[in-house]
Amino acid sequence: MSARLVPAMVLAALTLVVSPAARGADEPAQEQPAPAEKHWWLHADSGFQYDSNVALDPSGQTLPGAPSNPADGAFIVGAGGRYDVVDSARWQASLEYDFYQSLHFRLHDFNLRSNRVAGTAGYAPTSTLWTGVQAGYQHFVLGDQPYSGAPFVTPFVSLVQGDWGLTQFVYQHAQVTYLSPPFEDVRTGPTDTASLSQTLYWGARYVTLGYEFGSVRPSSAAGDDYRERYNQVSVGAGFSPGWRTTVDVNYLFRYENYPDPNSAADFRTNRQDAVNQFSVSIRRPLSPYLSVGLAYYGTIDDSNIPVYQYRRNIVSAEVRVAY
Amino acid sequence: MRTEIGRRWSASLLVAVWLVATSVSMAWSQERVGAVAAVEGQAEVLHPGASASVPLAQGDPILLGDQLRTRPDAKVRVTLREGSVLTLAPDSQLMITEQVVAPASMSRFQLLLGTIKAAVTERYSEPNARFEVETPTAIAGVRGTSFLASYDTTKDETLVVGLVDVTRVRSLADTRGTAVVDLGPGIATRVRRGSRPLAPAPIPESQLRPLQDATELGQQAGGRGANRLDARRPVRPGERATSTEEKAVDQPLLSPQSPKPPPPPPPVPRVGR
Repeated sequence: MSARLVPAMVLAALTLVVSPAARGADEPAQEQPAPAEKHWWLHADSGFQYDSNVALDPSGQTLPGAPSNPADGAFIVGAGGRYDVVDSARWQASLEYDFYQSLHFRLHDFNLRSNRVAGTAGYAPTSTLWTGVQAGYQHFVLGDQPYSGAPFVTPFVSLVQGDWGLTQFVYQHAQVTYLSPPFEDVRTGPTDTASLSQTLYWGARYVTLGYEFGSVRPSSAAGDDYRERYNQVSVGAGFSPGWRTTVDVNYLFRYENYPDPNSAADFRTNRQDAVNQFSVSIRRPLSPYLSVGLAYYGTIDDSNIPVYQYRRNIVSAEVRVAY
Repeated sequence: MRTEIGRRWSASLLVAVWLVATSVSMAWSQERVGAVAAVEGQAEVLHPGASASVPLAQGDPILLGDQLRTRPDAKVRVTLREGSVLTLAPDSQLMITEQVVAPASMSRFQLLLGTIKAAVTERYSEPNARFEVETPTAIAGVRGTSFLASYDTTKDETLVVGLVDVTRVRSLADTRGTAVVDLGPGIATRVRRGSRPLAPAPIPESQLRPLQDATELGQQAGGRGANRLDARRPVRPGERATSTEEKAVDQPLLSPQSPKPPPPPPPVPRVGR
């Protein structure tokens, strides 16, 4: 009996103490795709949005010529892509294009179409510092009229703090041309902004703080109503609450100071606006290439001149295909 | 008689050895070395001694000898008891082979398939500490705090990328460590079976990004990190707070009242009264 017991026990002991690695190694290996050297990205979006104040009517009143009910829904579509021309540890150059179109159910004059093309080039003098410049052109069409066009140039410096932080200084100069009434030959002129932001990461979560100074300078005296300097602070956070969703929450406060007496106040008052903007968006992937998103954008523009005061709430739901 | 007694002694001794081995094995197999911090998609674990894998959920204990596996759409992040964090990319397989906390920290993992990111605590910078990830072709050891390792079964090749501080890599066949390479942040090497590591070189962003994305939990579809800003392109602060419609049309469509009225005439001096 013991002669049969000995090998059985030894076999049992060996079975128990044998490395599970050996068992795992016996299992058929799965094919793992090699990391792709991906140089291009494409996306297409489609969805619906509800906008409570498409015409930016002041609270409680309708502007001359504006629709009596400024709320409307819209079908929205977007598409875009990026191609990395150069992509190394030190150098980077890319081209990108984005398209956006809203198609309102009722207020067709407020259908918005955006086309934006840009090129970005960057160089990293050290492993933690990126310097670069982005240049491009953005064009908007409102209704069936071209609304504005702007070539822009955006030099930037990024300081990477390991895996936990990013500081970015961004300057942008744009030459905005308004292409149809009522702003044609009125608001056209240069715009300059300088901003500084700090983002802190904690795993997949982040908190970002930002400050921006901006100067809008219509070239014509007819645009004095829109000449402004603003100071803006913003805070944002992102996290994943589970169920494979990601949430972004952002708040922005901008104080706009218009130095010239405003025509809407019979040239007696300088316009000053306090703008609060809030957004929250949630996105969830359905597959490696498909995701759905919900977003809310709220704006309260509190101006000392009533005609510029408005409130706006936008809710959107979209499906995105990205590759 | 003596022979019979001797046989009984032998049998008893073997039973005792078997019991000790079983106890040691059970103790080894049930030693908790960490916990699941987060899971995306379907990931599973094969506990030592178990015959079938079980799904992983957040908070589940990770035992010594566990074999973790992620499905093609899954990721899992494990926090080890000494504070290090392992993130397993989709379609990966990892076994926890060694984890000792004291007197010196020693951890060893076998990456059988796929990609892992290791964020290692500072305690492994101590002289006798060791943190190693072994693949079928290479061993990546930490002297710093973070690196990526990816084993490609089709090429039978391991890619190791240093992320923070220094990562030391050698071939699995190089038991004496005669051809070791050190990787700094953003520097990578490849090791084929039986070959020396290739000369370290900066890894292009296009190759690093998919690996980073694959080892980040909480992402959008398309492989881009939802919460990651790209240092290589400018983002104006507050942009995300504004919809496209608001970025384009920021003023009521009012025609300004113009022209500006002329200044009032100068006061007329009063004359004689």
